[in-house]
Amino acid sequence: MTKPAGRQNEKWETQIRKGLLDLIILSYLRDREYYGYELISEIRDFISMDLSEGTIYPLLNRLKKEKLITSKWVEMDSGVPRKYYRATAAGQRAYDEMKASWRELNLSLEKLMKRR
Amino acid sequence: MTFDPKLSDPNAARIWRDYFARVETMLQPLDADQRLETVRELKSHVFEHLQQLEGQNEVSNLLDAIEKLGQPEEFLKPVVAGKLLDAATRSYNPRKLFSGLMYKRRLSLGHAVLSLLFAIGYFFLFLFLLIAVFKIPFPDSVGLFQSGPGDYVLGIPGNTTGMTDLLGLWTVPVALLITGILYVGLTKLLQLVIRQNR
Repeated sequence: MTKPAGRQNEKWETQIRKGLLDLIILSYLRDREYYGYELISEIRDFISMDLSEGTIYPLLNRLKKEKLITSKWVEMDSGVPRKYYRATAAGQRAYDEMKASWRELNLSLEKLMKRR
Repeated sequence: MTFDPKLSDPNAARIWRDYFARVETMLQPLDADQRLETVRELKSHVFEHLQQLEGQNEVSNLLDAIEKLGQPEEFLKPVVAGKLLDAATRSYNPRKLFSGLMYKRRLSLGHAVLSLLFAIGYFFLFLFLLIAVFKIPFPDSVGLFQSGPGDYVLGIPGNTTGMTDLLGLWTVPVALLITGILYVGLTKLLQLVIRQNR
């Protein structure tokens, strides 16, 4: 994905990406479970230079608190455990609602931009 | 229980220790369980990154991993602030509430203003508590006094010669009651603000 020029644009784009992270995370976790590093690798294109990988963990914490995702630790042969996340039924419903809202917003923006 | 991987390069081992010391420092306000869970997860993350780059230079791999993960003082702020405020508003614990307010203050200007307003509220709460505590040892110097028609002084006016103590020792229960009402009111208000800002 190419970045638009301009520092102001970059800041705006970073904010947009941050705002969409909940939707992106749920879109992955509704399909199957992921561990933290694996999930971040999948959405890496979405994490720009202005967003560190660490910003995902507070989001995962919050989504878990809101009961939209669950987690479990799995011991690995390496001796280092992994924490796997998966969307709950409530998370699936939240994803559907967010997707519908996003589509509506997108359509409205398209209409607005066509007029100008 | 957390783990630390076996790093053959002592410089890499030092970098690992220093980074996670910063993580632990940042997470100090949290409960032991929450702290352990978060540290464990972040160590797992960095370890996974190192596994992807196995065979290359340990120090540069580790520096790459922690650079991508970010500064703990930045990305862990929301975790700590959120957990502190949640814990405080559930338990009515003044220490946790103050800690949460201090973290909230760092997040944005809006939060800073809100935190300042709550701090002022808690300042008045503390004043009333002081009045209740010092009324008994200093009954003539602390309380609600009238110096003239329509002229009242509340607190510790110093020289109360010629003034009338309006409440006497009733100052103590009244001040304690106001302290309690302020504390419950401010905490409930904070709970409301947290819910609206999620």
